[in-house]
Amino acid sequence: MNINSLSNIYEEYNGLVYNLCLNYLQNIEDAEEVTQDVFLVIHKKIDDFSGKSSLKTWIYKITVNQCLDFLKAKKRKKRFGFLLPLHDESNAFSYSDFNHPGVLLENKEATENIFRLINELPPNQKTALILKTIDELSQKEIADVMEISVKAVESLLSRAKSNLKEKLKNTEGFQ
Amino acid sequence: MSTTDNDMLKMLNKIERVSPNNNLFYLIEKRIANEAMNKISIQKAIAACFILALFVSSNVFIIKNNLTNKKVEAQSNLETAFELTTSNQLYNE
Repeated sequence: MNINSLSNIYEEYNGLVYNLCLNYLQNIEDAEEVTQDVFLVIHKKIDDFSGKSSLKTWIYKITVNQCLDFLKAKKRKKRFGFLLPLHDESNAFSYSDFNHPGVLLENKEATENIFRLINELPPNQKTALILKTIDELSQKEIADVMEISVKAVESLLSRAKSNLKEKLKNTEGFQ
Repeated sequence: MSTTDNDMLKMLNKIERVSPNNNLFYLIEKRIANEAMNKISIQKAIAACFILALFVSSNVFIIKNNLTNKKVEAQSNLETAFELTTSNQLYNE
C-alpha cells in the first residue's frame, strides 16, 4: 500500500482510532502509541482486507485488538519486573495514569472512578460497553466489530451493567 | 438499572472527541520507513545461506585434498629415502 492511500485512510479515520484508544487506555501517550500501531497494521494488511465487512468495522476490530494486546504486554512487563505475583489471575490489566483529554475538568474525578470500575470488567464486556455508551454504535455494528451475534452483544451489555452495579455497591463514597 | 447507574453511564456520554497530535502521521510514516529498511527479504537470506554453504564446502574440499596430497607426497619421499619398493618383484634385480 502506498503512503498516499494510507494518508487518505488516516485523514478519514484518525479520530475514530485515536478516541477509541483513549477510551480504552485513558492515557494520551498510550493512545498515541497504539494509534501508530493500528495504522501500521492497516498499512501491512490492507491488501488482505476482503471487503466482507466495511472498512470502518475492520479498523474498529484492529483498534480493539491492538488496545488489548498493548494492555496484555504491559501486564507481562510488570509481571516480569516482579511487581505482580506469578499466580495473579485477575482480569485487571495494567493501566497508566488517567490522562484523558476528552474529559472535562469538572467531571474528571467521577469519570476516572467510572473508568476504574470499567477497567475491571472482562475485556469483551468492556469493549461492548465502550462501543455502545461512548462510540454510540448500534448493537448490530458492535456485533460486526466483535464478530459475535446481536444476542451475544445484548447479553454482554446486560452483564457489564450488572457487574458495574455490583462494583458500585462495593465502592465506598462514589455517591 | 438504578438512577445512579444511569448517571454513571451518562457521564461517559459527556466525554468529548479530541483530535490527535498533528505530528502523529509523521511518526507513523517514520516507523513504516524504518521497518522497510530493517526488513531482509527471505530470498536474500536464502541466497546468503546458499553462498555460505558453498564457501564452506569448497573450503572443506580444498583442505581435504591438501591433506591427501601431503600424505601421498610424504609416503613417496620415504620410499625414495630408504629405497623401498612396493612391488614384489625381488627376483628381477
